[in-house]
Amino acid sequence: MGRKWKVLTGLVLVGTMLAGCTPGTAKEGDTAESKTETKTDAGDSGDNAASTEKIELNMWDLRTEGAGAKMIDTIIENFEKENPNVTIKRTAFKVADLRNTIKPAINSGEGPDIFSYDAGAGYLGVLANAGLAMDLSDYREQYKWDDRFHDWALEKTVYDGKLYGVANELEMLGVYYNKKMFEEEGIEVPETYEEFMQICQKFKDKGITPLIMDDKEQWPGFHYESIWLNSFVGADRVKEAVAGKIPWTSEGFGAALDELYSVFEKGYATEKPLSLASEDANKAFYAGEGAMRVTGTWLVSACVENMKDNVGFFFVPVASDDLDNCPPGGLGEAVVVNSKTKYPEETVKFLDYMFQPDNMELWYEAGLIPSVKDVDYSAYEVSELFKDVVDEINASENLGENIDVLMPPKVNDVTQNYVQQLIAGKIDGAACMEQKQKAFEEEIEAGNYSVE
Amino acid sequence: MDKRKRMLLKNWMGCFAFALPALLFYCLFLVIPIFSTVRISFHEWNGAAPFMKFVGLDNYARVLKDPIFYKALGNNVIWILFTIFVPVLLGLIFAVMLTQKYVKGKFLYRLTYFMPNVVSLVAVGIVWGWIYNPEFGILGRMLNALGMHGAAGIDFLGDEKMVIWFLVLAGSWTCYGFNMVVFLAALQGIDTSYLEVAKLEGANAFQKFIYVIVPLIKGTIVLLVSNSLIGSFKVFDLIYIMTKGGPYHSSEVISTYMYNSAFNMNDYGYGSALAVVLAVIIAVCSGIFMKLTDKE
Repeated sequence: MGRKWKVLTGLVLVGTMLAGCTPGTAKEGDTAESKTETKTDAGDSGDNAASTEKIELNMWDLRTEGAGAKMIDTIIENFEKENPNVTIKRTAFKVADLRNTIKPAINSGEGPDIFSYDAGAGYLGVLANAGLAMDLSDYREQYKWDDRFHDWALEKTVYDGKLYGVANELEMLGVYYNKKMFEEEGIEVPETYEEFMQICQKFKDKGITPLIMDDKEQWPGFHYESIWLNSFVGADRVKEAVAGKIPWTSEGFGAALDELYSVFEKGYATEKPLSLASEDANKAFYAGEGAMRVTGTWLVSACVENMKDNVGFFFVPVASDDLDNCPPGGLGEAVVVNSKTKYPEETVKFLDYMFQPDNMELWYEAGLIPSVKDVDYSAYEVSELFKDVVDEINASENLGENIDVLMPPKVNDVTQNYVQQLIAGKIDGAACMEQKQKAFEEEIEAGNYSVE
Repeated sequence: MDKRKRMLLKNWMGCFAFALPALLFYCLFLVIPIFSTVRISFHEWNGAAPFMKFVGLDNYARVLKDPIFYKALGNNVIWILFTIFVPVLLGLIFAVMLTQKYVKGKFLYRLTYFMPNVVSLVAVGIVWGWIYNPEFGILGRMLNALGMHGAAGIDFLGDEKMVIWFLVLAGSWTCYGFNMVVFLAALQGIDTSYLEVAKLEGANAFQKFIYVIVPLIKGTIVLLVSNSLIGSFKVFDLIYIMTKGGPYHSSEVISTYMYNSAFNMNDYGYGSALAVVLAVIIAVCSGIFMKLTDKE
């Protein structure tokens, strides 16, 4: 008797386990079905929200703390005052949590009306293909976004000729420098890559670390790759590689990474980059232990806080005259509208409101650079460094690619490891690019990345 | 007869009702996840998609062909060998030293040696990360001050060949104190008459240790070794905090690789397969170890 019971309970337990918890196995036609559903749902929208009806919009974003979070809360508050029938509920996520939640949330109809998401083909591109992100092309004309946003910023969220999001802020990759050290050596900001290297040599001769570069945490390596590829093969060819039109193994790509290695080999960069953490590298730069720091514009406010007006910024110059000056940068994220939202009009109205000229002061004073052009920031309370950075961006002809934000996760995993191997002198640039191309092809085949 | 059966059933149901809350909790947070992991390991899934694609044993085949898996397994073996024997040995030596009558201030020593065990592994990782810091780490500066410039030039956490050893050092530091305290308790439980007899028979201190003390605390040694064995396979926090398995997978262990596969690369099927393989290895090792020690 007892034994029978034991067996029975065991079976019941195991059965429930196997049934529960995880999603079902795909059967043929399942995915197609869910796609069509999405499309029909996206259609029933529009007039069901009259201006007097009380509505609540849900927003998911990544601003968990700091000036950025305050900024967005202020914008929401102001919007609610101007539109008393609308309340906006904002939920802040960590990057990985938002990435993992958004697809099932939208699919199940529980998703937010508006959300922040990586703009790359591996992310927004996938949502656009699956019909989960709303096509904003009509609103682009209605709100005249082309007059307001940088062309190259809008371009980044266009898939298949349609606009699927609006860039929220720009993050550019470049070099911070210690102004006092530059002045003492009588050095000007470099105009060419050659000058850049000469400056490095000068500091090295003086016994000062020229470039503080770290790669213990592996993500800085992405940026080094982007900077050196943009500088040596040019933004246009990098874009072609990102779009899958030319392979990563094309001529010049491997050589560009060899140039990156030579910076370490010649002793122009930190001696032990692979065990130096980013935060420690920043501290070393603030403390004047090196003349320059290669990283991105997100560090502007921290630099100002620690070095006051003793810090400047420039982009790594292109290596040959034939190439355009297109410093690498990317959108922090794109602001995207859920294709299944019940209130598309109000949601897009809020999206537009975030980037209206009157709100630019809030963005700038939070140390963020929205992708809005022709902003007169002379009256805003912003640091000199921040002005420098914005001027540099406005002076550039186009935006180069910050490659990792566009690539699917597995390509990035391969990249972060080969960059470390490159820095350690274990493999050369060509071998790196072969690894990237292989992973890139695998991800395209697995459907994790879409090329036109 | 029938009545007796009914009584038994009733009795059994009563017992079951009492066990139910704990059982549910146990199933929900332990048993179900285990079976789900096994199930996911037979699928290709990015963690977000509403459907998983069944791929059979593909993920396991990939594990067996993956050079990084073997690298990680090798590191696991190094980790286990050294973080079991070094702390157990150190713990035993310190415990024996602390039981000597002539040692003064025993409490202070016990407290100090046990301290690392109380600190969370994340904090340990951060502190040792600082000790090894290439710019301002105390280890590099100390070696320089001692004139050992060659050793100071080692990139402690950035050198592919050395990194695992420096991690092992930090790992051993965290657990020898616990072993010491357990050994202390065991040593105090030894009947002094054994030692007196040994002394009468003319055994010296070393012989007393080897032939009297060690056999008497064998049970404790086995307990600590098996405890460390399982703990060592599970190592994750310390390595994740200090190197994330880098540089270029040189300090990868199976658990960090599993985490990276599932949560960074969105390859939940492969991550689950690694988890299952790790579980099997732990089970087999523990089984063998228990069999061996049972026999004696």
